[in-house]
Amino acid sequence: MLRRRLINWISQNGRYFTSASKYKSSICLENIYPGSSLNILRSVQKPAGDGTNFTGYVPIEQLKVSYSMASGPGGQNVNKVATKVDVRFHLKNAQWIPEALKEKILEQNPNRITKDGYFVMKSDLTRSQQLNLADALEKIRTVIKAAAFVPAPVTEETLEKIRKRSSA
Amino acid sequence: MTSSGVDKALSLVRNLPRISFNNLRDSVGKRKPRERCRGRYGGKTHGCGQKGSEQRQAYMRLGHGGGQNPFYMRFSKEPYYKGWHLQREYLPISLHRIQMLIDTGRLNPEEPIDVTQICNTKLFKLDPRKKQYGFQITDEGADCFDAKINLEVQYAPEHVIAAVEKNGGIITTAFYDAMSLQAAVDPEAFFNRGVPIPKRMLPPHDALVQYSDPKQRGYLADPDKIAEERFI
Repeated sequence: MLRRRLINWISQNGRYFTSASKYKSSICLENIYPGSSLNILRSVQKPAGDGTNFTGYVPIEQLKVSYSMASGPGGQNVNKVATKVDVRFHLKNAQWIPEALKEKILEQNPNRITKDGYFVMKSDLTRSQQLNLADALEKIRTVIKAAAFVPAPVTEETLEKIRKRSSA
Repeated sequence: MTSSGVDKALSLVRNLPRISFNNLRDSVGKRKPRERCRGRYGGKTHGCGQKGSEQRQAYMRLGHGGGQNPFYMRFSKEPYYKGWHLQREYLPISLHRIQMLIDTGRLNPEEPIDVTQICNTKLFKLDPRKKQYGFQITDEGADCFDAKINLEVQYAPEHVIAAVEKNGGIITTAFYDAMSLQAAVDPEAFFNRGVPIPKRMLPPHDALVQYSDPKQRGYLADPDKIAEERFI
């Protein structure tokens, strides 16, 4: 901060201190991270998975998020502060979930799907609205990953062992 | 009369020259010359007693109890203050407070908000001599925070970082060593002293990890990785 002000002053009175703003120390970020773009505001592409895999990226813009008051003890805080989070999205129209997984999600989570086809997830785990939103998204990821889980194929050795055990 | 004593004192203050080392002196009798051990009463044993280890100048060390367990070894050590002189303190400021300061016009969200700006509001007193190394932001009021700011503090938890970046702001954690912090807290007083601007030292070893971590938006972290974390 001080250096920024000093550099502003120097640039205004530049002819006396022309080399000061070009100084780079040996531990400046350019030297510590030589391959980096040094731009914290650069735009990052969302992970582009192929159509069959779920990458874990949940686009918040396509979800319907609503907030309400939570239940349980807590006095004035729980009565007034809207910390409970309700996240909904239409399962069939969700483009960020691979098509093959949608059927599995439907059969594994019948209680989460409404009559209109909306997948519902709620969370009132913490005292904070945003932390609850993060928790709800995490739970959605868990559900999708459980649907994507394919158990490893049973090996022949295991089948042999089971056969021997049952015959003996 | 009491007033004449006061008048006398005041006239002294008015008329005497400025105090300096060459017109200061101890009061009479304050320093007496050492009395030498000579003559009938100062001689013979010369103040050293009779025989024994004392006259033979074979003293035991301080605290030695004559062979019994000395007092300073009878009790176990308790590490109550171990490392206390190395501990760093960061004054907490809540996001709620920062929102209020911006809304009431004490902080300008157009300019970067850092230690100097926060101290300029004169609402927070930071004393580097008391091992206070800066400010930390707490997550009270994170849910209703909606200011777009460029914030530089010394520590911020994940929730706070999320709240600031949700509104499109930038948050950085930076380390100021004690001398640099003294300059940053009151730059005007520092420049009036006329000393050169100190080099800002790197953080100590235990803090280096934190300040190089993109997840904590450290100022020594790789900006590429910070961009990725912001996306998350």
